[in-house]
Amino acid sequence: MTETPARPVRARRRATSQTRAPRGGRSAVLAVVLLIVAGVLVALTRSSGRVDEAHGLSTGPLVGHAIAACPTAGAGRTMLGSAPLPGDPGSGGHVSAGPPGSPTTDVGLSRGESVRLTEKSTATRILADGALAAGLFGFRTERTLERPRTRSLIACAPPRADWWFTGAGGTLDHRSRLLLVNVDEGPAVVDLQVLGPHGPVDTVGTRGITLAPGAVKQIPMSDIAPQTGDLALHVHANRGRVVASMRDEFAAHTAGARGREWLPAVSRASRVVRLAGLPARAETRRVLIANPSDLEAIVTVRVSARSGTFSPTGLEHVTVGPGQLRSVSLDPALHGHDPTAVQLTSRVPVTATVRSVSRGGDTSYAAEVLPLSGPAVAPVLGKGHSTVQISGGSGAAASAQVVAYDADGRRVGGTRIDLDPGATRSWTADPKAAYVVVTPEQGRVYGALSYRGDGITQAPLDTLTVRVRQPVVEPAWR
Amino acid sequence: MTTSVTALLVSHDGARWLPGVLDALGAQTRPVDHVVAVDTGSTDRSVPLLRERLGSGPVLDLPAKSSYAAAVAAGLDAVPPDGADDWVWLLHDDSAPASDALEKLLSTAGENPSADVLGPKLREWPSLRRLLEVGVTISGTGQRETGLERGEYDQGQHDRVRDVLAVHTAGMLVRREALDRLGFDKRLPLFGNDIDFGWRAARAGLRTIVAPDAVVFHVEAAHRGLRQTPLTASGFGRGERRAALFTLLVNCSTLAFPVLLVRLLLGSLVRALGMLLVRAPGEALDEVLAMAAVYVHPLRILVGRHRRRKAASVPAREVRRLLPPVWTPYRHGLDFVVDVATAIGHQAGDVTSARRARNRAVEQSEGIEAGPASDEAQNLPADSGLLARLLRNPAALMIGGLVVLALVCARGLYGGGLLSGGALLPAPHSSLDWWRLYLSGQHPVGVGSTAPAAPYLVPLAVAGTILLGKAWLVVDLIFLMAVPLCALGAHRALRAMTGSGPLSLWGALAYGVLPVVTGAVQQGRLGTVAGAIVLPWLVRSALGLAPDRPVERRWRAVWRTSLWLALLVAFVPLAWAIAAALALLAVAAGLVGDRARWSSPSVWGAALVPVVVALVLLVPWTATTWTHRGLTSLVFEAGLPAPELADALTRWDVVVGRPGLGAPGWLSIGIMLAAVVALVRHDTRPAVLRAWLVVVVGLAVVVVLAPATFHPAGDPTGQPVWLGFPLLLVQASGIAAAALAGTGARRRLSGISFGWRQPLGVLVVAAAALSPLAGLGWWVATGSADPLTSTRATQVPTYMSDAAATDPGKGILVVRGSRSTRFEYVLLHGAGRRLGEDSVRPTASDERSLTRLVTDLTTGPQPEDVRSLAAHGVAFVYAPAPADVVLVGNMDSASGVTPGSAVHRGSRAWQIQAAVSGRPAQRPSPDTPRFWLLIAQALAVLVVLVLAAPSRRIVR
Repeated sequence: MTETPARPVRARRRATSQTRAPRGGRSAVLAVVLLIVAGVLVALTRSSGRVDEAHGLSTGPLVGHAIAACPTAGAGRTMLGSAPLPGDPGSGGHVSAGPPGSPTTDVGLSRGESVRLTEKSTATRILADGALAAGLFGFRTERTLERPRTRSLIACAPPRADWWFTGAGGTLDHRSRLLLVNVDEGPAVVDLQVLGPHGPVDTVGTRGITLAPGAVKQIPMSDIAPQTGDLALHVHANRGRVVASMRDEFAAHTAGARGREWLPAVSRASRVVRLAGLPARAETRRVLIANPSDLEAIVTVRVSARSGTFSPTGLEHVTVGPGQLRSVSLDPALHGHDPTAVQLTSRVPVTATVRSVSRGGDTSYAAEVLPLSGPAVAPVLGKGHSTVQISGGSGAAASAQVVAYDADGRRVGGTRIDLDPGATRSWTADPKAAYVVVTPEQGRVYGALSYRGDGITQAPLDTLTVRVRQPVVEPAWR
Repeated sequence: MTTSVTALLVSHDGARWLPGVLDALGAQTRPVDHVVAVDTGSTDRSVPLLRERLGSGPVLDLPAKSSYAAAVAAGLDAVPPDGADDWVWLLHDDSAPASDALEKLLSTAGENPSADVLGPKLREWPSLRRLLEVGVTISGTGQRETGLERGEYDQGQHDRVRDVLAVHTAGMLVRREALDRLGFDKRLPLFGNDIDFGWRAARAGLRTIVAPDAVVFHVEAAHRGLRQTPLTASGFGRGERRAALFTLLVNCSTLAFPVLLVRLLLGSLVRALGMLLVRAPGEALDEVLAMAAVYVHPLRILVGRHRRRKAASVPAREVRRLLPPVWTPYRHGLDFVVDVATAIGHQAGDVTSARRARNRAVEQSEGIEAGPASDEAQNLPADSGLLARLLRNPAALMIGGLVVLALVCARGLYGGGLLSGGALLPAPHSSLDWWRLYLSGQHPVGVGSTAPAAPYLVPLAVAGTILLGKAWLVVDLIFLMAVPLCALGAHRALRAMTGSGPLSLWGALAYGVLPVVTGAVQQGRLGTVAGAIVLPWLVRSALGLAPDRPVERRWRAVWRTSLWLALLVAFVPLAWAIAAALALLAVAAGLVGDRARWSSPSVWGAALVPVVVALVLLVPWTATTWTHRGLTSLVFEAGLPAPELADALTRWDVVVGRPGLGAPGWLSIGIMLAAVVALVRHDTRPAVLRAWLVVVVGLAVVVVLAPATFHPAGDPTGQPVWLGFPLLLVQASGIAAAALAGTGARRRLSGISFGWRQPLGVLVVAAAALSPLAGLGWWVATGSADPLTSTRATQVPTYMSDAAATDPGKGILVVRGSRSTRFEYVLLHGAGRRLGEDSVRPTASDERSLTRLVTDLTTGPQPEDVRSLAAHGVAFVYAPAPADVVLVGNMDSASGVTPGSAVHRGSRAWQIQAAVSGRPAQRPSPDTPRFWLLIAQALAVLVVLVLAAPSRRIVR
């Protein structure tokens, strides 16, 4: 059979188009050109890559509202001030104070001034609106004149969800009392977690502690962890926020005189802990390190002194078991009368303090501080030496400006402190001054104010809240 | 009393039939007494023929535009009345009476002395047996009712003398006195004057009967379009319809008049629409124009009614019995629909048979023998049923196999809830939600939005409506059945392109796995996956745009291509830019290569029109999106941008088509290798070059867009664009190039002497053949899930979504993230955002005040912030785990906020105590009248659908 059936229409059409095709040579050139163009296009491909989202916090406008609280029971003074700021935001707005849960009364305050409050309640709530909310600070100081003479100092703090205290105790010679204040308009529910030398301490009644709006609650540590000499306490608000403070009385010798202090607080455990405010002269110094994690912490201790940092012999590495608190003496390492700071580094987050006991029997706890990102304020206490101790970060020289002001906001002295990398230096303020303002100028700077006079105490240099730190907020697709 | 009969013959260009008519007239068993012929301006031999045959009888020659009424009147004038029993027998030049017709008519008249008008039985000339009319009436919709089936044979079944409304003028025997008195209406030049005359006669108390013993054979030359006269210049359909409407309106009773006025108006529009739907645009136009021609002259109708009222002596209700029942038109309508459905079924069957015959012819021509067939097998009928055909069809087997594999690969996506994840939002509750979103100009999404909804909602909503409102099923089918659906389309397209069965199968498989190996399915990229399903059909219809196609078929292909392109652009707007570039390149290349042919507008127009029409078909979006989204409308496809799902595009990714999360790139290298080698073969090179042109355009789009970042919905964060579709297009073009070059490659390679080509060819074929199989294996191994998942589509605690469901004003503000990284928020009015709502998301600037509020919540909320939240319609605030501690503290401490219960550990919820504003903020209506744009879109789609469909030939 030679006859083939008719080719389908499409096949015919193809055949037609093929006969009309450009001659082989021309189409070959076209093919090469197209291949080259395709190759060039592939070679030119540049991708913008992943989406470059904004992250982290940015500096926003001046703070327009502030709320804080301090423990104000007993004999002492509460100072409230408004730090002079670059660009002078002015004295607009108003500041008021009063017991938590009660209406507050106005406090006449202008930019740069500091005033004394006359509150006598267990705690005082401080509210500020307007320009005065930026750079607002408050301190509570107490002293006892009988032996041992003691000085204690605490900064008024804004409410938050987490508080860590290291160095509390629940024995006769070392007794601590937790004060919780709810300054907000909603209830707060708080859990307490206690770490001791042998690990987490089993406690009763430390979960779901409810504080009504404006409520103040005092909890002796001996109630929740009796017979434990050294403790670390984590206050966590499941709901709402609180202002927590820990009043501490510590006797260096059994049944001896007890020094008094408020324990410094931090909001979370860290891998790098900078402890500042160690008194230049002390009888004993012990570093207390708590490890809230499930892993063993190997902590490297370095001391920052006038000439730089060094690792104290025998204390290069301190091992702290999971959930444990360990106390190590710094006395062999810290001798002499130089201002010092201690820096701890660990692979797991830890909290720490250095408890110093003066010859007179008063105690002081070195506070965890962060490098300053702006002006910080510390009070100058009368009748003694209020010394600003500044440390620089390792690796680069640093400097800071220190200015002392009296209660009316007039400048009464100041200096510029230049620091070698990792070194610590100090400057003693005029006793006439009411407070000092430390402003970082170059490099990483951290420090505290250390007082020596009628007892010892310290005040950490924390960056003042001046501007709102805003997170990135964006609408989402889903 | 002597009976006198005057035969009145009206002719116009009827020389074809006149001899027969005159013969029949002369052969009457009862001869007529007088004959008068009236010619209305014939241009053929009619007048000489009449003069020659009639001799003594008068032959009047009237102007061409004379109406039938005028012709009859002129004829009557020429023959004076002859006595009391004087009859006029009206005849047309195309109606031949049987030899005894007049005798039977007169005999019936004698038996029914009250009858004034008599009509014969009209049979078709020349088939002679088919009945045309045995009396006629008119339905309420203006339909001429004969009471006969179409093509009914005369078996004497209607041979009964009975009263009717009217009889046809061809063969009508009417008393001279009645004709003189009533006459025909000059307003009805040609059609419909018989019914009008009968109706008026009935109102005048005259009796019209049908005499079925008398037979007249009629050509219906004007009705069938065999004869063109100046009176039918505007079209037969239109003339008939206009006459019917006029007749109804002037003759109906006073009570029925206003009802009929409205009914006919609406009825005409519905009929026109129906005709459009059955793809008869010409008839639809006639319908509308006829209606308009009657309705624009209300005075004529009123005058007509006035004259008839004056002439009437019998009440209208007496005539009612001669009119058909009211349901008659509806019964006809039903019959019509059934007829159309049956016809479509038959046509589809015919097309399939034709295709099968063609394929058999191809197989035989290619010398494919199925081996010796047993006698038993040869005795089997050739067509052994659908199942057997499917089982013998390799393409059907492949698609079936892919469906099974798709079901296997969807493991882990069954039963969990709605398909979502990646760039895909869960489907809404019902397809009605999609319709609502598309048709509305305001959307309760976030703080309220007036953004124009994306055009892809229309196909989704249509598909959802077909699937009984099940929106989830549409999404499931698109994603889980993407591979078989793509393979099906690709097989059809490649079959049309290459004509080769095995290569179409290979190409279909290679294309089918593209949506999964590129990662588009797993990432939930609705635009790319739907675009991949649509693309082959677009290509198939675009093949018809070639200049060597007949013009009519080419233009049908233009409209079909426009529809497919619009569908593709609805899902992937970027495809429009690609199509425009390709169309321009095609025209430019055509003008360079064959200027003579391509300079014809019907050739270059065919390439460019779809690009323009596609935009018109998507009109509310194309017209208004620029003010809302700007350029980002064109680059972002359907679904969420979700740039975090894909890594930076490398050159290797571009070569192997991996926009992100897909199969290992080397799996696809065989296809691109085959596409490059395809350029070597010179006889198929022209077609391969066209495919490569698409490759180059796709790559150019990738090169331009890959480094750029865009800000969809005004987002502050610039985002790279997902380039899944252009990369898929590049791969698809590579497959097409390889398939085109592979056609007949075996024969060609075996026909030349052994050299480097054979080993190279074998290697390339092996690599290309293994590539889709490897992709298939990878897909089966990894499945279709991740990040695509199947979950309960709720982001928030149930009590919140329930509250929002009962009161849409109770919005839920969901805040995710942390201070150290970033916060993202979304304001929900239900369980979560649903597919489609992303297209109307308020812009970042619209949500600026809410963004500021959320910023305050994360820094330090004040009582006025809480009140402001309520004013934004926020009743609940929800922070999914892990909730940021600062945000939690801030919210806990804020006044006016009470903690709510959050279901999951680490998540937190709050309720705003202040009364919410009640409804999401309503934005002012957009300036553009969306309603009119939607109407325009509906009309455009309808028109293009009609134009794209095969035209219907009208058979009378």
